Amino acid sequence: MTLKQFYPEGQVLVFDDGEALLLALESAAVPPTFIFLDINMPRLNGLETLEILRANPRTAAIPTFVFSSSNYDADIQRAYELGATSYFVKPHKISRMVQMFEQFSIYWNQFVTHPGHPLTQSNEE
Amino acid sequence: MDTLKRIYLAEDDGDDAGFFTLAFKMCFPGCEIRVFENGGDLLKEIRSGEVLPTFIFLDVNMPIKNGIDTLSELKETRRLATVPTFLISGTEDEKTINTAYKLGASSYFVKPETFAGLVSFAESFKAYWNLSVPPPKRPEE
Repeated sequence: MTLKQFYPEGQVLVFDDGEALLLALESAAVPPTFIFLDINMPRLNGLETLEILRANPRTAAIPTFVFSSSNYDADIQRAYELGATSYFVKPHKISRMVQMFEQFSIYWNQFVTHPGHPLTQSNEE
Repeated sequence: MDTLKRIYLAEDDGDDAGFFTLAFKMCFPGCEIRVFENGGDLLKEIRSGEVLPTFIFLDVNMPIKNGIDTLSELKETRRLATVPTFLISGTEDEKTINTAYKLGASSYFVKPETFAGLVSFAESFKAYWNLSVPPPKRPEE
């Protein structure tokens, strides 16, 4: 809900676990702009999913974030080792979450160039 | 409370390096910024140094060793692979951008054209940096 607020045109697809996400990616015509992964999920957890995404040339370049309630150093370290773009600890308060996605969208929309968002496209329109 | 940042920048253009340093010093007061003229010099320092930088910025186009080759070498070394590494460039070439992300760049930026633009960029970078959780410090550091 909060993410949608800052990407009104965006489509947010939610999957119950990593396996469902990977399955949907296989048949997706257009790769997603970003991927957010929770760590604690049944079947395929976020870190296992991240490892598979990074090993596949089709998905390796997609900015992929770990968004978890875990603030254990071991989880954070492992996420970066596996190639997480950034690691975020889920805020408890909804107001903090809104603030988080606001900063996130400013950074990724206005300053960063990434495969799903070359700057020239947004500037020319 | 901000912990003091140690920033490594590889940039062959002296003017760009100067403006970058100024903008980041404004946003991260007290930070230490080390500038290298190419990726080779940065790699030499980071491999021999005991303390790792908080994050690294690499210009894409540099003589001797460019940003992409430097990124690739950093990501091949386990100790250096988790240091958040950002690419900056004057141009946006789709293939280079893709390669950068595949190699594990944290983000790819096109250099802002004005100093004001560079300061806004540094401010947004700081806000984003403070939201995310960086790789934990290793015990030996």
